[in-house]
This record gives sequence, structure tokens and C-alpha cells, in this order.
Amino acid sequence: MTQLADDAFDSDPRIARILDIFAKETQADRASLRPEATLADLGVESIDLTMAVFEIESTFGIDIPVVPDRAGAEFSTVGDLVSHVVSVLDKAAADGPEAKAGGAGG
Amino acid sequence: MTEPRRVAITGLGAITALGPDMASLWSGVTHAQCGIRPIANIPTDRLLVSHAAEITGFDPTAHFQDRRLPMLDRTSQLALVAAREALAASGLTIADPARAGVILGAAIGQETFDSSYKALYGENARRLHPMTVPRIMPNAPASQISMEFGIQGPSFATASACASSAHAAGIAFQMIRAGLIDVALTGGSDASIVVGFMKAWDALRVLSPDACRPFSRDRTGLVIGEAATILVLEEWHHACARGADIIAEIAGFGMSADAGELTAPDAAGAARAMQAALADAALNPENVDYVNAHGTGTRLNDKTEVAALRKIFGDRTETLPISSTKSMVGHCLNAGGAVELAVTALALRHGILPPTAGFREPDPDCAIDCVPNEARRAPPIRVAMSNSFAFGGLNAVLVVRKA
Repeated sequence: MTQLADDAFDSDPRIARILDIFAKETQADRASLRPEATLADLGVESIDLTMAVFEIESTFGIDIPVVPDRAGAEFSTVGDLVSHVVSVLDKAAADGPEAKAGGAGG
Repeated sequence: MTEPRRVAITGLGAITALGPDMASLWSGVTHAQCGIRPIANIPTDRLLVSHAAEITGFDPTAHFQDRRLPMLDRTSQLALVAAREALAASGLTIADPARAGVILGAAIGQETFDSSYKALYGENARRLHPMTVPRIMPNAPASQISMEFGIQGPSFATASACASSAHAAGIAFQMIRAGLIDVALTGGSDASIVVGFMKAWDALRVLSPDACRPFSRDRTGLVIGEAATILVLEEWHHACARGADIIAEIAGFGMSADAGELTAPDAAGAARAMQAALADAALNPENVDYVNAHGTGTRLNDKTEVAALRKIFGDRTETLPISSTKSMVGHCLNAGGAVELAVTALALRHGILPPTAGFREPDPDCAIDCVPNEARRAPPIRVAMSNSFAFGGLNAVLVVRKA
């Protein structure tokens, strides 16, 4: 999985929104959400993680595909989740608004 | 003091992705055939997954008269086909209808649900078919079987998601043992491969796009299957008195609730059900020769199930044969427990360990003998265990003994 630069993690407003949603859905402490923090250490339950991904999809109007070959255990760390979502957002932006409209709203 | 009543399995019937009857299920399983194929029965353009373990080539009109078909969702059709086979195989005639029961896993008529709501909301249908409710109701397969065979004793459906038909078989076993009935048709049916429900599974992010590889390091999730499997259970002397062919004996049943996460498995909860089943059978872990695992093929289930097995079997977990039938018939949801119980019974009868198909690479988190990719003739298997663990943390384990 791609590594996020620390400065992007702290400066990209999309990541701030992703983390806000994640913290709300999982009840994790927002300040603890660093790239290297593991979901296990944060005490994140799998159902809450699924709900967080669903809310992120709704907020950004995207479909977040299952990480290939990782169904049911897609993300070990906060950084895994954020970089996966950011890569989907980048792709949606590159594909243009038409592709995006066919996403979660379609 | 009278001898405790024992419970025999005297008939099996099945329709699965491996074929239209029990013989094709057993032959498929022992040849490690995989019923997981590209989805053919529904459009897949809106799904993330492309594969399922579908029953193909099933023609309802070959089994049911025109006047009856409107009463039957596919779920009930499959249940009736399996029940007819099981009862015929058992040679049983229902002599005392009030002492016989039908206890099945609850299963919604998904095809009716999906198509009627699509018609209502999607196509602005003005009205729905008058048989929509009786086709959808989760007790429909149990009711249809009781009606077809004139069974008039305790009949109902048990609901515990993927453990439903294991709970049903366990309760049927307990009712016969307790003397409430002498005969039961039990098991379950599931026909959930419809667009709406598959889309709902997509959202849970646990489906594999194309293959089910339980216990393999490269496993990618579960694959949905459809099936019906019915078992005829009979009080031991009742079976012997009529010269019935006893396939195996149900020796114990254990249940537990995780009271934990909604969708994540829990090793302690699973282990409590296994422990309860062994205690109920008055057997020790060392008596168990084979485990038919829940084995869904998700990263979390398989790892957690092995951790649960370790709590019961200790270091012996690494050498005890433990395989997953879901690798071949998919995850048959409400019917899964019954399919796997039937396979477990035949494993005892024939002394053959059914394999885990699709296995490619050992996983340190699943250090077991999963009987990879090839059935194995075993030294006599005397006692086997069949595990079912449901979403919602509801667990059911059956212990079966060689007849």
C-alpha cells in the first residue's frame, strides 16, 4: 500500500475530513489518528470500520472498492485506510465529474 | 431409570451447486469439486462480485404442478425437493403425524421479496401477487414440508442467520431425545442470490470476488451459495424397529452467544458452543476425529475459528483434520449448517475426510490440517463435530457419532 507523506497527512483537507468521519463512526480519539496507529490498538470494531467507510463514500460521493484480496481485513492501520481512500479520490478527480456521478449516487 | 433416548439420522436429501441430490453433493465434496462459478441466474452489472455457488439447471415445473408453483418461492421449492429425497431415502412413512415435526432454519423468500419490491418501487406496479406474503414468510419452507407430508407435530423455523439450520437440527435432536416427538424433518434451505441481497452483502466488504479459500494464506473472503439440505432424524429404537438404515447418530448439541461484536467472530463464544456440545454428548475433545469447520474463507473468521479450536483441542488442533465444505458449496447462509451436518454424517459413515478445496498456501494463523484439496480415506472416524457461527454472535455446534 502506498505510504502517505506526513506533511500530506497533516495538510490535505480531504484527509482531515476522512479522519473526522472515522473518529465519529468508530469513537476513536481524533488526536490518536496518526498514519501508523493500528486499528487494533485503537480498539476499532470491524462493524464500525465498515460504517466509517460507508460514510466516507457518502460524504465524497465515491465508491471505495474492496482492497484486492483483503475482503474482511482490508486495513491494519489508519494510514492504510487513508491512503486507499485518497487513491480513490485522486482517481475520481482524474476521471472527471462524469465518472464520479456514476459512483455512489448511481 | 430408563435408558436415555438416542437420535439417529436415517435419511438425507440435498440440492446444491454440486448437483440435484445428496449423491452429487457427497460425490462432489469427495472429489473436491468446486460449485463456485460465474453468476448465471441474475444480472451482475451492479454487483462487485462475479461468482457464487448457484444451483443451475433447476426446473421448478419438473417438480411442482402449475397450480402449486405460485405458492412457492425458490427457497421452498428447494426445501421440498430435498425433503422428498430425504424421506424417500429414509424409507419412513409418517405413521403417527402428531409425533413428527418439521424444524427448519428460517429463510426468507428472497426471490419473491426482491422481484416484488422491484416491481413496486422500480416499475410502479399497481399491485403485488396475493401469494407474496406466504411465499416470503421465513417459516414457508417448514410449512410447505409439513403440508406435503401431513406432519402435524411441533413445526417451526429457527432464526440465527448462518447458524439457523444447525440450531434447527439441534433443537430437533433435543425434542426427539426429550420424548416430545419421535421423528423430525430438519435442516434448511436458502436461495438468496438475488440482486438486492447480493448488493447488501457487497456493502459488508467480506465477499471474495471469485474464490473461497478457507484457511489458505491468500484467502480473499466468502462466496455466497444456495442450497437446501434436509435430514430425517428418528428416535433410535423407532428406527431400529422398522429396520432403518442408520447413517449416523447425533450425540450432542451446544449453543452459545458471543454477546460481542455484531459481525466479528469471537473465539471464546465459539469455544463455549463446542465445549457445550461435547459435554452434551458426554465426550472429551480427544474423542473427536474430525471437525467440519464453519470455515467461511474470510481472514477474520478462519483465524478466529482456529483460535477457538485451540481452546478446545490444544496442540492437537495442528494435526486434527479440520476442513471447510464452504470451499465447494459456498456459504449457504440459512442452509449452511444442514449441508455441513449431512456431509459430516457421510464422512463418519464412509470413513472419508472431505477436503478444503482451493487451498494454496499455509497460513501461520491457521496452523491446522485442513485436508487440502483432496479427500482422504481416514482411519475410522468415530466422532465428528460440525461448527456453525452466525452474524450476531449466535453459535451452534453438533457432535455426530458413527452408527
